Amino acid sequence: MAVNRKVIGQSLPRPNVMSFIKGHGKYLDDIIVPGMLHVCYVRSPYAHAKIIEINADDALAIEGVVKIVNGKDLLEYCKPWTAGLTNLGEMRSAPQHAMPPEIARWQGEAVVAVIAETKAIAEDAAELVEIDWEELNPVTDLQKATENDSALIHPELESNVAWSIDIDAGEVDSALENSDIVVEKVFEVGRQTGVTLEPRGMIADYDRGKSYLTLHHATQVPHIQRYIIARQLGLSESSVRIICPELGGGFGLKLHVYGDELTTCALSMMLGRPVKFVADRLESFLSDIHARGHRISAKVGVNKDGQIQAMTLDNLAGCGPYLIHPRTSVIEPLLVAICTPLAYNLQHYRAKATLVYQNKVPTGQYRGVGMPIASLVAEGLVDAAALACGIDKVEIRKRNLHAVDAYPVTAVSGEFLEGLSQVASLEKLTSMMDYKGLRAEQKTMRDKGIHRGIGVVTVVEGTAPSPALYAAGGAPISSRDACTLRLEADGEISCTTGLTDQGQGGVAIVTQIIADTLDLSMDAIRVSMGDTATTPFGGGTWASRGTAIAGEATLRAAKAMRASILEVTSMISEQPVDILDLVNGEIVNLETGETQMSMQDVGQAIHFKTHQFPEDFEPEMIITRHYSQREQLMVYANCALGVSLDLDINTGLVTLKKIWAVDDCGRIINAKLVTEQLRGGIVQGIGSALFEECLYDEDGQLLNGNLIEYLVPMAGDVCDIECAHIETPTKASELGAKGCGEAGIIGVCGAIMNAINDALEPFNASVTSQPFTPAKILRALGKV
Amino acid sequence: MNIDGQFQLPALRQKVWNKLNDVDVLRDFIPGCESLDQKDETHFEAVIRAKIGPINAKFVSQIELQEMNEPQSYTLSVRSKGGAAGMGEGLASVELNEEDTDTLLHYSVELKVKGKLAQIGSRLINNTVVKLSNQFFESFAAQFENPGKKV
Repeated sequence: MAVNRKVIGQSLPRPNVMSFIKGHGKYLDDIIVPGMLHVCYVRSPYAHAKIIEINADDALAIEGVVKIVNGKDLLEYCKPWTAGLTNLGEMRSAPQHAMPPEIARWQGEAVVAVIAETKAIAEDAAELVEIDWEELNPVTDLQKATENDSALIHPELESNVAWSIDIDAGEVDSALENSDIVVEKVFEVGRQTGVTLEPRGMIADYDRGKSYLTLHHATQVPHIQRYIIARQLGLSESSVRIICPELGGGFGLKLHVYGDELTTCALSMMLGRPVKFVADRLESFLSDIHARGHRISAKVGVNKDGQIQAMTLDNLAGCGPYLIHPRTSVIEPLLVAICTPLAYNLQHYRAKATLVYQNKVPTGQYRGVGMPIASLVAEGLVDAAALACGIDKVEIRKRNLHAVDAYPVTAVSGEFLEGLSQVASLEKLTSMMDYKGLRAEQKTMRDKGIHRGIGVVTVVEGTAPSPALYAAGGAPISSRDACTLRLEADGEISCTTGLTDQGQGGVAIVTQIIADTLDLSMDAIRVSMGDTATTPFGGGTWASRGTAIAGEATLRAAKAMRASILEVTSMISEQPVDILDLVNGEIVNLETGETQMSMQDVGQAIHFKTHQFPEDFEPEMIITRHYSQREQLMVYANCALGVSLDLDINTGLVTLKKIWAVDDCGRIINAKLVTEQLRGGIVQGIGSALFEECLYDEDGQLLNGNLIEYLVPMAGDVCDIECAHIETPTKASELGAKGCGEAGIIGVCGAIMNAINDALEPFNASVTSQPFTPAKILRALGKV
Repeated sequence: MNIDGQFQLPALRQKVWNKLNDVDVLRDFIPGCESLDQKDETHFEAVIRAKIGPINAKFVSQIELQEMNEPQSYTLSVRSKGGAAGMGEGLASVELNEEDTDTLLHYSVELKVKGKLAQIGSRLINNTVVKLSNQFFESFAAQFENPGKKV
């Protein structure tokens, strides 16, 4: 059955966009449940300390305070959990409590819950809770944490090393020895956090009569959260319903298990009343997952002609005091290890990673997960090699990318790459940039004392993971998704899916696929998401999987619906099914060109006028189809990205001039949404590259946990971003879509670093420690 | 963080020493001091209200005098708890040197802050400590015949 591509590929407006534009979006904090209480958490001021005594008498005395609960009180309501995966080597992991009964292990860990009639009362009372602490030695420095005399965060684990991995493709040392040139660099990537516009939040509403917990929860993954929350609270999965309101950003941080959220659920069960928790910005900095925080020593061996012979890297990364549940914190260093060499054709590769516990906020999956670091390292090494060989930086990439006819290819780290358009993307990029013109201009500008830098990178973006990544390791994470379609009596289509939409435009993507397959107006389709009681079980939104996975499930459901509609029409009209087709919302006889039935006729027939059907005919008009990608660990997409910037060598300030990106995410459903995903990722990556870092002192105190000192990119920091697309559909699905949500953030950090170093070249200086702040640039120049 | 400062006081060293060790004098001149009680010869408890940027809190401080070397030098160890605002720990070394009839006071503070003070106040704490020290020494010096001056 041919699918007309009438709607897929068009940049149509999102069906739900007017709601946001008019300010009608309803977020967690907009929701009020009758009888609702508010919880405010008292958080540990120390990175590592033992609770000796809690005195809450003064706080309890305040009018409006309902209850004050600590970690010991919670023990009978919420079980501790131990994060871990069994498929990625040994992980040393310790149990984590929703609130610790005895020892707080990071500054900001919630230790006491104050529940009151209003948020203001809860906050005031929380200030009066007195805790007598015994300070314990904090473990903060990555290197010292691995040493034998270090204090231990979990003495029972006998080491602060949580996990390590070795990947060795063989003969690396001899390949390095035989290389004409070996370049060695140390890259640092500072700790970051997600900074969603809307903070985390939840309303837990436990109905004692029905033993039923309803949660309004700002989460990317309602079905996964429901499974875990039910399990921790001792409820059955079907006794928990999660309803996601609209989400003001996710970026990965709203898919982990947080102690304060589980506590909120337990409090509602304890009190039999709805309880609302909304983190404020200061709490967000201390409790939302952090990410990155890696130090990588890396080497590349090249021949004089620029051919890469071998690459090695040794990565030391930190993960907070626990592995984050349920995905664990090892995926970031894992992806650094497996993704660094993906873009290039080399035979010898070795990667080592060590993940250590620290008394800092736990780390977890944040947009890009390891891949921005991998790209920074790979692209930094390639530029350094180009410089050492005296080869142009685009040319060296052309010489090392997988050849156009090499696909499918297994990269040196073992990853299967089905079909990338790296060479075409790079060529399109350099022509968009007018790379030669930019180089000529750079030379002229140098003479005028303006130091322009040009950075070009080629990115491989892992998307749409298979169950091999998490579920195979025992984690309750669905990499599958589903779409249910229902033909209504008025001929319109209702759709529910396990996908969620944090602003990416998932609703538009799903609607367009249905409209395209059924040749139906977008207005005749309504998509709802994010309610576990009404939507089919699905993985939700993470790892750039929405369009690739839920999109394919939607295509399958729409095709089945189409077949069902034609079958019913055939039955009623007594015409052979193969001469019928859906055209513009009607069922048309292709031979006569006449309309046989309208969609409404079919809807009426199946819901009301079933007397027209033969006795043994019972058409199904609620159709669910599933899809999980099982062929590849991830479906790899690719992107080429270029940056032009000016560097003030007196102040160290970077001014971005222009950014270009050519992305290939396979089949494009809505080009404008893909472009916006690219731009959004790039802007977030500008933050990583130039501004964002969680700064800690040696005692594990976060020193800039506020938006005055933790800088995120503002409109004035961003330049024009020009995007273009190439479509190489994946063979993993019929739809052919790959993900596109992370290419921007993955590529732009390395591109900015390379552009800065390109500008610094005449000064024999370079920077490799992200964020690339003016102070670091001036130090590299020897000016401070 | 480390903070250093010097103050020239128009009095003989022994006199400065005596005033610096007089609880009643200190209580009057420490900015925001709500109470200061001597527990024993070397231990004090103070309640001080201070404003550091957006944080306005009452700090209950345990002070211990160490390495008393009359009238030359001593060290103050201070542990302050500001409740929800966080806490601070400081070690202040004070040295008194005679300069004719004046005394040159040099102080050096090692300070650590924790909790909310660290999260939102660490960029402000340095300036606040310098400001409060100046306020203290200016009023402390004023009790001698001639006003003191910062050097």
